[in-house]
Amino acid sequence: MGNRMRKLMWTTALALSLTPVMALAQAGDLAIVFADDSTSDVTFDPRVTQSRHEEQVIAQVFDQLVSADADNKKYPGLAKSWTMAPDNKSVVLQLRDDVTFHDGTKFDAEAVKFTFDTIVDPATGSQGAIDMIGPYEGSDILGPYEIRIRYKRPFPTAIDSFSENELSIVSPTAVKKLGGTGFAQAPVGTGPFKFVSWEKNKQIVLERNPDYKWGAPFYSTQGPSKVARIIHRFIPNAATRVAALESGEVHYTDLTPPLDMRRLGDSSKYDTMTGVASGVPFSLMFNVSRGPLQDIKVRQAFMYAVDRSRLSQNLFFGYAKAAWGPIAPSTPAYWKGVEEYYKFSRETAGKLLEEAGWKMGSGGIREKDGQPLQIYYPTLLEPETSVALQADLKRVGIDLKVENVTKAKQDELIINNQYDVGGIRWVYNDPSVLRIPFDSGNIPEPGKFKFNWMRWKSPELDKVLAAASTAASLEERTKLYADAQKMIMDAAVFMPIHDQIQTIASSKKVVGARFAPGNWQVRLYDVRPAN
Amino acid sequence: MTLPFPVAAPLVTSDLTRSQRALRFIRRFARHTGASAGVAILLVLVVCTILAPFIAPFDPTETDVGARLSAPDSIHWLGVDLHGRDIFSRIVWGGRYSLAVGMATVLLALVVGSTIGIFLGYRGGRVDAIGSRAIDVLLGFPSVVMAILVVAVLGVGLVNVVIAVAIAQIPRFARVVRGAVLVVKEQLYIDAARAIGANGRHIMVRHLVPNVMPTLIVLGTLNLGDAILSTATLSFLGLGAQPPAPEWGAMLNDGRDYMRYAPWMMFFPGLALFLTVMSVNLIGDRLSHLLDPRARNK
Repeated sequence: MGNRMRKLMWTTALALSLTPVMALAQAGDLAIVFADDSTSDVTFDPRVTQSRHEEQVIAQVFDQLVSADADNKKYPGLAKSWTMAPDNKSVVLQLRDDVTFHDGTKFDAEAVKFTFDTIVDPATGSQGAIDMIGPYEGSDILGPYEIRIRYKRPFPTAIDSFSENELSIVSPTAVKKLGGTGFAQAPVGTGPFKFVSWEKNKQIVLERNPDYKWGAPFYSTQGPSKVARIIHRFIPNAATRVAALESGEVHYTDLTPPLDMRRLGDSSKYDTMTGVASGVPFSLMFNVSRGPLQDIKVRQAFMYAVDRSRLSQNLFFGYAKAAWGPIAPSTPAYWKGVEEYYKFSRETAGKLLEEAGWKMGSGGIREKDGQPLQIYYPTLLEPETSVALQADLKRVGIDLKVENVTKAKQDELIINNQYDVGGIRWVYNDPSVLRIPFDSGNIPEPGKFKFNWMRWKSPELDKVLAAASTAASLEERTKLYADAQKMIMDAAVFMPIHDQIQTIASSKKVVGARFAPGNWQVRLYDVRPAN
Repeated sequence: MTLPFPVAAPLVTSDLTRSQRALRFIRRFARHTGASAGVAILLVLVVCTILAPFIAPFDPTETDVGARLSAPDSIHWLGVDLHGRDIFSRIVWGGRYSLAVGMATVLLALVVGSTIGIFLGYRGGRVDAIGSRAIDVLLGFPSVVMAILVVAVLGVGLVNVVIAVAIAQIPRFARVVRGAVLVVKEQLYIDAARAIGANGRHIMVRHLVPNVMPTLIVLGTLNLGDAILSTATLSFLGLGAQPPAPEWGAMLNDGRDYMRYAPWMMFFPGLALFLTVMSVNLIGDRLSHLLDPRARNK
């Protein structure tokens, strides 16, 4: 096909799909536009959120007690220093005395106590922070800028938890004035940017905090940001986001398609950065309570049958790697042993299925007692991955029936146990995330949407995860999480597919964006003109 | 009374035999180049679709990642998609979805819609007043929005898409048929039938239905294009055909993110969809022209 024909075809198609984009030029000051693929944001209250997209905004508006760079190295944040008690059950923090919230409220020990106390208050409805805060018991104010945080059990990762977005410190005055719902839509923090306005599904405007002088030492910028305004635009279609970047409408795009990353990265006008996110990779959960997947041999065969390295290479063009364990390599306490499990082998898969009594039937699908080996996978994630899985599984005689469903429909099927496989992923900077899908108490039931979609009850694993979350030392914790990962892989209930990647493309006119720990959110404080 | 003649002139006398009249009709239909082209395109599509197993050079779901995203060449005439599937084969097989689903949709909407229309038109009075207002309300919803609503309730899948798009089209059939019935029922032969003691059901089935048939044929054809497009729209949104089915709307969606690198992934399914809808509409237009009593004798 000639180059001209190709160009004609794609420009026609592009013209049909482009939504009108508005001009945002603001003379003089540097205004940057960040294009985000989400449209489902509901709250920007760090105490409540569990959304990676909401946190992209939260990361600009709030500060944490401890600041961590992209490599998870810890620096003083709102706390100048900290001392962990020898029994790991309490921490004493010395706070900065020169910090004010955007609404003029003075930052002090009261604000920290208020934030933490409200996180554990069920009325707040915390979804993410409630897991991050650990076995929080209470806070003692030792002075205006000195506080002791107490835990019910040893919590050796307390300092790490203080660096999470979810445990950002909120302005008590603003929360009391606006109420929970009001604060969710007009958050007030101490961060480098103030929240100005939010047009739902369209854009959020943030503006520079001119008083900011307490940024962590690892930033090049000290004092107020060089960026006057951040316009955070929601553009759900990836091709449209890229087109907006190339037309100069936006400076940063998130979740850029791999082929565009390659092309833009090669060009002299754009930069790219790729983050391999921490947390749970994109994975399948096998429902062990019904159908053919009750048999461990079928589950193992399923995993052996799929060439995950090739799948990732094909779909992500080298940007995302195959995943082998329930947490990504960049997550603390990752156990390398997972990489030895269920390496691609079509022969092994076939052998296991034969042993399990599934014989090849007509039409290339295996059968047992007259029933075809059909596995039902309703999902709202990654349709392309589904097709690749289907193709590999069909080659060993498994019929993966994929249905792309809405969130509501998926939730209904999950709650009523009407599925064989569920697809899932989490961006999370700590192995404690494993409790969410693997705890025996987290099996979904009518009226209670929860995440153990494997419907797998393992009292031994529950015990190990509980012990890990309260381990008295980091070594013990790492050891226990390694045990947990091994138990999960041995049981063959969970199939990691590929690492989650955050692919950012940006205009070369600006520099300085950096990933927050976890490699998903992008911090924009350090952004400045390239020249 | 089952001749393909329009509503208001059932008593046209003619010395031509039935086959002569059919021939004359075809000749007059073919006089229009656009309509002839429409028939030709549609015929090719239907034949391709029926003979898909013999025409398509590849299995439409067979993946070959080595060849993925490659441009049209002598082996893959219309190029290859992300998973290495042959786009020509997928389009040929995909015609089955578009045409079958489109026709099933129109048939369902036609049967239900005209039943409602005939009933309302014939009964008249308060039943008609209430029913007609209800139809007006339903017509107020854009049909795609209505269909999305129905799919949201019923769940995704092609069968549900048929039901959803049909429900969105029912009010159109009901309203037009009701109008036609209002005209027909004032005709003398209806009075005559009533006078010799025919009951309401007999009149509706034996006299009204045949006489609104031309209207239904035209309306059905015109709505077929719309049904095919709505089906593709719902599949494009992920609500219709499920992977790995080669439905055209779903193929458009698959190609969206690769537009720049493999424009053939979107271009050719789009072209197939465009040609189908265009040919159906050309035929529909010509039919409506020929079967319109005011235009018929030109």
